Amino acid sequence: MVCQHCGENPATFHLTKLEDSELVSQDYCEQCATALGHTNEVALPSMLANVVAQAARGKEHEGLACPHCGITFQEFRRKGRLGCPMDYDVFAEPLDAMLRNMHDNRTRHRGRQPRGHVDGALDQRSAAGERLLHLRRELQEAIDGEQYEEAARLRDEIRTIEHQGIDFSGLPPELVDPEGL
Amino acid sequence: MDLRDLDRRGGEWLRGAGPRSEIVISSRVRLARNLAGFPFLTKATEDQKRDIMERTRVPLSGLDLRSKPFFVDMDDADDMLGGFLVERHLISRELQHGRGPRGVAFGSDEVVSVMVNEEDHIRIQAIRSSLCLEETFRVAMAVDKLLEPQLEFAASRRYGYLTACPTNVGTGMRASVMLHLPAMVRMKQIEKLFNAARRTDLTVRGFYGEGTMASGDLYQISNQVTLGVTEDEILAALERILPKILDYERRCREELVSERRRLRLEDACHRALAALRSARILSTEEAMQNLSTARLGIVTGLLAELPLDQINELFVLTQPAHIQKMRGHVMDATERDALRAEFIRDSLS
Ligand SMILES: [Zn+2]
Ligand SMILES: [Zn+2]
Repeated sequence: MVCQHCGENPATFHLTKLEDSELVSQDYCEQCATALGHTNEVALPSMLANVVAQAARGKEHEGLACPHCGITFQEFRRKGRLGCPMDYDVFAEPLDAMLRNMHDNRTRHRGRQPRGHVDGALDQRSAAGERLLHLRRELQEAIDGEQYEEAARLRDEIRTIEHQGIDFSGLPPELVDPEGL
Repeated sequence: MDLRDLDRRGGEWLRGAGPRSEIVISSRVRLARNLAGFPFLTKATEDQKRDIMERTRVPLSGLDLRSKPFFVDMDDADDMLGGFLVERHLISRELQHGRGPRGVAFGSDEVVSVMVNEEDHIRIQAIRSSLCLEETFRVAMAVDKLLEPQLEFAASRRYGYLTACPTNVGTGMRASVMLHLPAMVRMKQIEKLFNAARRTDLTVRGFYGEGTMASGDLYQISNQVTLGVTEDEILAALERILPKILDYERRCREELVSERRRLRLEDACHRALAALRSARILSTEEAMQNLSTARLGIVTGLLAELPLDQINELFVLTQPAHIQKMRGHVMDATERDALRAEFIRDSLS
């Protein structure tokens, strides 16, 4: 690939931009990239730009919103960032095509799971996580509305759930020897 | 010890020793993690961000970061310090230019750094000199395992570790190597690197990440896929393609020192060294280019008297924020370029 500006040097600087939901890629050599002032631009991660552009074409999920954090699918599409961990379930359907596109057609995790996330424990924990998200939202509203008694009550409830969630039984052996995995 | 002591030396990853360090500058593994029960940062309030900072502070201060840890609260950091940390690869530009409570903890050898409230609540990074992905992965994993009992990470059975951007979901892992490929660039073969990466789901970036130029002939290559692959498979994919790239660069270097080209390379290397040793004004880009050529001279034996670690370090120590931090104040480009030339001259004399 040669530089699209001078048409001479090999293009080593690749910029992917989103313009009107269309993906535009630009390829320059280093000299031209510098001359054109592109070197300080922060480009959209190319995969992300691809996927966002793709999603922009399908409008049917636009109204979808997460009841846990309030993000809409449209907002996610604009920012490229989700609002909370539950969004993976809330937006599961439109996300599926995106994930396939990003991850070479894969949609199911195969790597390691966090400690303790075995058997049914994970479902129990994500239920607790969901509850905590709501409590924290209510807490913020209570603080903003200067309802301090309600805020104190919510803090207690959050604390109770958190202490149920985390397994404090014993420290893992890695604490003693972080290198020896 | 304070941050000032870091001004004039680079992190461990710049020491230029270890397997294939003639081409591979460093190996890096990054893990993205988020706390369960909190919104991601786009939807987190200031209070919640502060809560996350406080929750992570205790486990991070108890962490064995392999050396005495530093903590930088980015809300208190000025532009110069922010730029300085970016240039050292301890934080991302996103963290530097972010808003609200956010920070970084890192060991004084700079092997491990943990960013809090960047794109995800927690970003663990391990970076080591030369080609040692397995070991670097183990270091990052050790930090993850130390934090895990104290912080509950958001995860699901189906999607693994849940991240703010779906491009990181699953393992949350990005493994990369930083390569110095001056011979492939000189032989106009660098396109081969991009082609090889494209065929194998790997991504190529410049010295300072996505969208930056491959300044100093330095290229980072990393995995793109994080979901549906195991951590070991991510490392294996990189390790499969690397020997081919390294071999190609090696052959290009051999060609450059072959009888018919040797004089030209010798000339270029000595000119680069002369510029580094006697120029009175050096822009970042010019310095990077000359350092790259000098480095090529060292590894091909043409400039044998120069130490590799010093040249590696200069790639970072001559970046704009580093130069300004040496004097402790903001400078314009002309002033910086003069100080950069002076600093390099002193270092190499
Ligand atoms: Zn050009
Ligand atoms: Zn949500």
